[in-house]
Amino acid sequence: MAALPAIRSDPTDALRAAVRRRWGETANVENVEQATLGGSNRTILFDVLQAGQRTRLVSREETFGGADKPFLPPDAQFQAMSLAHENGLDVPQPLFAYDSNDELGPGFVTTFAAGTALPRRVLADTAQHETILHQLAETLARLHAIDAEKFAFLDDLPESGDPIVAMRARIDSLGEPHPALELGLRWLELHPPPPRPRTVVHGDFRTGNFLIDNGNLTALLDWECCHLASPAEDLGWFCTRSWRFGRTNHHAGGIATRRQWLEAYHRAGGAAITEAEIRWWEIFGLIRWAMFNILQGHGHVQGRRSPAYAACGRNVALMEYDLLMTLAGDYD
Amino acid sequence: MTEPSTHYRPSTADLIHTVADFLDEISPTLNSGDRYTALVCRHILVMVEREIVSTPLAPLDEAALAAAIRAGRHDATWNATFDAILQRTVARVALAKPDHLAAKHRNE
Repeated sequence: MAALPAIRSDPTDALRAAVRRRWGETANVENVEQATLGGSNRTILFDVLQAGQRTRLVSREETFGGADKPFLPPDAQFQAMSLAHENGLDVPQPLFAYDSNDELGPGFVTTFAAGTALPRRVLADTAQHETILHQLAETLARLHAIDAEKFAFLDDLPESGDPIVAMRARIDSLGEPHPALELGLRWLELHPPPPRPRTVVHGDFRTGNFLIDNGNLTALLDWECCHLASPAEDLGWFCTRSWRFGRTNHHAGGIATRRQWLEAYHRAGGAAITEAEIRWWEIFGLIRWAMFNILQGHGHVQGRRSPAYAACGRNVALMEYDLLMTLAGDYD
Repeated sequence: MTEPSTHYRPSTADLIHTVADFLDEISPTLNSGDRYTALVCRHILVMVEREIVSTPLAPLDEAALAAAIRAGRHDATWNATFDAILQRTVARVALAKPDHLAAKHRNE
């Protein structure tokens, strides 16, 4: 894929060198496979062979970072995932972070979790949805219950402050006016949800960002938007219309209704959150998803070029439309 | 739309459509990564084809409107502002991805 950012096409040598620096000269690397080139990162799967043992691992590298981007730097992702793992969440275990002696990175290596994240595949098998719903609710309730003090390193992120202030600043930094998004933000400002104590939130909790294997949740992925906020933010982002993948009456990620989702979360030990509060975060979510698309279109114009990123700029109108239809009460 | 006299046939829109059709034709022969990108390219071309035959939106200072909404200066005229913005948004979606629109906003 020639139009993608300048990163080495075959990273096998660099991976082998990085692995040997940590685990000794007898370690070897095989079966290197690029899994995805996401909006902000590159994911590579590979095997490490050592003392007759083969272990599948995952390398994640930042491809679209910088202080002005709404993505955590890899070292903070590593720290957040380590804390989540220590607290018993299903998350790939972080093993080591790349440093300046590696020819890879910034980024890190984790254990591999089996399963598919592909929304169409996850949503196709409806028989497994009830189990998945409960596992997702338990995972999220457990994450939100971790002492927020442990995540103090996320405190300075704009997203850890007032969400409306942070969103306006993100949109302003992209240099393109969006009256529809302003209308949404103004509505949110005039209809504030009840205040809640901040917890750590995953920040990108949605269908497509968790792995399902044989009908069971195996891992919560993509921690680059982790921050401190109302726990309702994660629940509402999961219900945001864009993540229903056409199953619009299944508000919660295409797998359950809003009510079923809130009940499952509460039964799993999470706070009692109302549908009205979730809807506030869904509206916020549509604005946020629009902002991410503006960001990708902007990135394309700034030189991080690809057809997919180029298309994102025009797609913003789709999210704006969903936002307005939701505000008007046409969409639930 | 009248064809600009600068060009011989086919029309600009037709040329774009021809390339889009070709991408469609070859996409099954590509690996999954390139197939995805080819389909994105096809989507872009068909969108551009719609754009070049469309009527431009009425001129509007959207930066000023955005700032005024943020400052609360449209709170008293919320519904009118909302309708005007919805109308422009529908027009943009009709170009970007017409089948994303609800039935009541679709032409024909």
